[in-house]
Amino acid sequence: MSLLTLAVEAVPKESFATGDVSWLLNNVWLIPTLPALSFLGILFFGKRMPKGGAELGIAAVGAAFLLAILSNVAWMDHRDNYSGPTDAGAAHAEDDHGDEHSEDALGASVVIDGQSEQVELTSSFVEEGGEGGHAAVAVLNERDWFRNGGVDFKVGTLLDGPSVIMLFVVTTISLLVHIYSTDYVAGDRRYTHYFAFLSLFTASMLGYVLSSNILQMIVAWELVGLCSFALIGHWWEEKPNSDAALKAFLTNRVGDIGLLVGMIILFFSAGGTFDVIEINKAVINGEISQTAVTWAAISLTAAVMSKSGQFVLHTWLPDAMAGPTPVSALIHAATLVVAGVFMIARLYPVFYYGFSIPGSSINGLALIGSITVVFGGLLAFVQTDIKRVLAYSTVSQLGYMVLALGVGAWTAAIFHLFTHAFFKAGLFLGSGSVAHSVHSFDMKQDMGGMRKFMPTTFKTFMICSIALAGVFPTAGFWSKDEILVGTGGLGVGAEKANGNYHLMLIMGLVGAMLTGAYMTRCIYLTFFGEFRGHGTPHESGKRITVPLIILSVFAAGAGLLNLPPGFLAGSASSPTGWQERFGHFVEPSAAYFPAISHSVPSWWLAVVASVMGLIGPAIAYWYYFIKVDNLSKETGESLTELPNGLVANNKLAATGHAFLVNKYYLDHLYNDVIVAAVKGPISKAAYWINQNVLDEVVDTAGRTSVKAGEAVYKHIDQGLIEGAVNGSGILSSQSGQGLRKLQTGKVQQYAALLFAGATILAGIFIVLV
Amino acid sequence: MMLNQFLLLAAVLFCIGVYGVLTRRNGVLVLMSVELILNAVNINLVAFGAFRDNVQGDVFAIFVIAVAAAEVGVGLAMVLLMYRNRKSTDFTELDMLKG
Amino acid sequence: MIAALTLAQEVLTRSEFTDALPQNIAFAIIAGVMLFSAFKMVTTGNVVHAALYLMIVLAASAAIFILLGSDFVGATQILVYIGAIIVLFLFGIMLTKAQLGDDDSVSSERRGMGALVGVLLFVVIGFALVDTYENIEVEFSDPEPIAFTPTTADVDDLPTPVIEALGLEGRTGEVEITRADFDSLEPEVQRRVPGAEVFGNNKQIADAIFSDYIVPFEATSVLLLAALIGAVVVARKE
Repeated sequence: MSLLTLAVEAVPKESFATGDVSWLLNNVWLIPTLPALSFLGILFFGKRMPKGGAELGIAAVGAAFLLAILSNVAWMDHRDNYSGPTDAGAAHAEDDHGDEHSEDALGASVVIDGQSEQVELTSSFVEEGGEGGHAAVAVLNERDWFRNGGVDFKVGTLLDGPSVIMLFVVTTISLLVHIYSTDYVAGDRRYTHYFAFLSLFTASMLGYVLSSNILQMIVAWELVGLCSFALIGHWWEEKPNSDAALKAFLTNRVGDIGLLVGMIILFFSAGGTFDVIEINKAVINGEISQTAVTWAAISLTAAVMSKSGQFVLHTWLPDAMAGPTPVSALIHAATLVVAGVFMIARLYPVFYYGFSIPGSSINGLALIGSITVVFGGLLAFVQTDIKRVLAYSTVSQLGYMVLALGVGAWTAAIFHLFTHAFFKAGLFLGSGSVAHSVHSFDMKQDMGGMRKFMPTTFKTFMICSIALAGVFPTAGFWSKDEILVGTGGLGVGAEKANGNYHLMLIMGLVGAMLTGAYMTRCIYLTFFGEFRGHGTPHESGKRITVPLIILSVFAAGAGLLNLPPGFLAGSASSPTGWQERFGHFVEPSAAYFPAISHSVPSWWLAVVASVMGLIGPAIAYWYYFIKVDNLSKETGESLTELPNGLVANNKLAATGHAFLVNKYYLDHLYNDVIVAAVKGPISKAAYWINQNVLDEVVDTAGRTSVKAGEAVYKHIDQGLIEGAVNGSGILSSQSGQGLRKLQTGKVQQYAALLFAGATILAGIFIVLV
Repeated sequence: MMLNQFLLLAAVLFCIGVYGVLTRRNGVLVLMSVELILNAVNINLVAFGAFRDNVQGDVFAIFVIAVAAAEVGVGLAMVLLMYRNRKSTDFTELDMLKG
Repeated sequence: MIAALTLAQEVLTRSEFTDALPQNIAFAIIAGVMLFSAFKMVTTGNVVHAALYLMIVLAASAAIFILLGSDFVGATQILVYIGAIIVLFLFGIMLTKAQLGDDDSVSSERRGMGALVGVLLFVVIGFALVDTYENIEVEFSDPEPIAFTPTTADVDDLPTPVIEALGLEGRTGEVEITRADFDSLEPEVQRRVPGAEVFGNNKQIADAIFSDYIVPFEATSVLLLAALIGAVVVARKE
């Protein structure tokens, strides 16, 4: 616990600004409101618009995108230069202006008068606070929603690093998906409906990331789930699609129970408040018992597991591919699945202290994450559907984020979320581009050699894959490296990491190897070899390729936003002005965020990770690009695997393959592993004992029991039991006849019986108590 | 004044209402008896409100009045529907729940 | 009737009856009228008479509310119940073409069962009430408490009774009215002092409804709308 107290002392006192902040930061509610309005607009007037409502959706999301960029710029300024009063200052000044303060609480940000006093306070904070003074405070705007039973229900926006970067990610991806969709779903029977829900999806996700209290988070969380249901089941006329939508929805309901339980625990243990800042502060200051925090963290983890597709509850995610591809891109890159990760990030103290992340070497969150990384990656190998490869890849990458949060590498997790959003959206949209052209998602039957037909799609897909595989210097390299360093395992940066997560580091490295390998396979099957489908594929139109190009630029370059300290200039302990920009602006350093330690980057780990990340692709390259390709040329067919390869010859490999194809199906586990073991040596030994030892005993017992049975039959059975059985039959028949008379069907008689019964019960209760 | 004199008055009113609900055959009269029951509850609420010296009893009595108004509206609509279908409002004729 | 007599006897035999004699007499009259009308309502064979008896019961319970100091609920009771619901019942009686005049078929033959249940219910409730609240009295607080914040006022602006009560005759200019001054005044005079605010029952109810109970209040409005639509849907002709 000493570590915990240390961390508590290092936390600054203030959490949000109470003075003048830029107009935009105080009015970020506009950003989710725009798509929400466009949802209504499209719903009511979309059919009458010339482009079926798509133009309204694009306009609204485009405006939201511009506002998001502006608010990012405003946030950067606010983060470094804000010198006005904060809530810690306000609490200090409250002694003098207590009445005013409480009366003002209805309104927005409380501005305290007495500027001179504030200036003094501020300067003292700058002296104490160290890096950046106290400027890194959130912007909180709240209004009373309603009051009931003495509890204030508020609605508001909490703008800080993670939410402002999510605004950027969500609006960017959503805008590109909107533009892409105008081509992809052109001529669809429910075109207008599709765009309406796309808008609502965006609005609810934006509302989610801006939520200032957990009640609002729950509402937005459920809205996101609802929209995903509607969009996954967009083509509901086909049974598998509506089944997939139902599966996604119901699996998420399982996790939602955890969400509600966790939120209820937090609400009551934090003293009846829904406020994110209040709850986080209460956890950090140790006002909530460790047990309550742990149970809240466990319950919320269940919600994260279902929403963010962590292992055991991830099964809905690949099925969700039934939806239109742009929706998959939106779900997997920016909205639905990152909601869970964002919740951990938002309520990080709950998880940080609930799972005792600092100072340990294993915990539930990190374990779930690391298992998901490897198991999701393995499953991606055996898929023939290109979107399912990407879906399992998403599962695996989300595992990285959860792993990173589990080991205390908060910034790394959010940074990976950020970079992953771009390259995964690029990959999904790229796969959609291919599928749009060949009218199928099956890599083995309908694709192959696509690079000749679709050069732009091929190039962008390659760049995004390289980024996903984490090859230097693309975005994925930087974020993945940061996660691996953050584990602090095997002595890497251990002096400043939060713990020593050896297992997580190894699993992360294995995951990196798998990622490169399955993407190599995916690229070979899709873009190399000869075309195996029908017809003549052609490159997609501008509205599809331009978003792909934009996304691949981000995929290649986004990593530069968070260069590790010591890279090219400066030292590992003091970043220069252009290193760690992402972490600087995104990670809160306020009273509602735990004082996590930051690992020091390690050069040899970066090299090892890069080598591991290249070994996987190298093996896959050797298998597909050399062996399979050569064989294809010899035989003149376009093969997708070696006919006498490892799976065909090696029993172990074949078993593993079947295991993966069946998605670790637990029935198979029970049948083939447990039952087979019992069948073998154990059953033989049992047979010998049975024949030689038990038989004699059984025979003797059998003879005895026959004698005894005869006696029992004669006296007990025929006499006593028969009578009892017949008697009970007659009794129930008689009582049935009697009770039948009560069933008159007359309502008033039923009511009389009801009243009489209730009265008698109440009378008994009164007499007894 | 005793609290109990109000509560016992309400109890008698409640029991008379129950008696009416159980013995009346005419649908409209049954609904009227339900009103007696609701009124008994209201007297209880207001009496307890006065006893506890706060307005919560009054507030809930007002909510009960509003709910009673809604109940009468829907209830009479159902009685009318029954009358239209069977040319009778006799509740004893409603015996299709017979086992 | 027996129940009503029991009640009356119980009230009359207690010594507390004489403490608030006017209220208790009023209560006895109201309770008697109410129970008699209620009893007639559930036994009469005339449907229209039943509705009129119900009206008397409702009016009596409005009187009980006023006796308890809840004027607002009493007024609402008269407006909503007697003004609207009774009319609705009369409409119901007319629309279902109930026989006007005495008609024995409006009550079922099995009265014994209903009476048994009713008496049983009363015994249980009555026992519970007597057991729990045996000697508890209702203490009526001031129905219209007056809040006061000390102020200064110009003597010329003060009402004459206030000037007389405070002995300010002949003075001019600003005077300070303290809490002690205020407390020395009669309640009728108190409410005319500047800075005094009558905080009546209605205001308290309004405060409660529109702050603490705003959600049930809004839910009630939705409920009424749903009932309106439901009644129209159920009762309209196909």
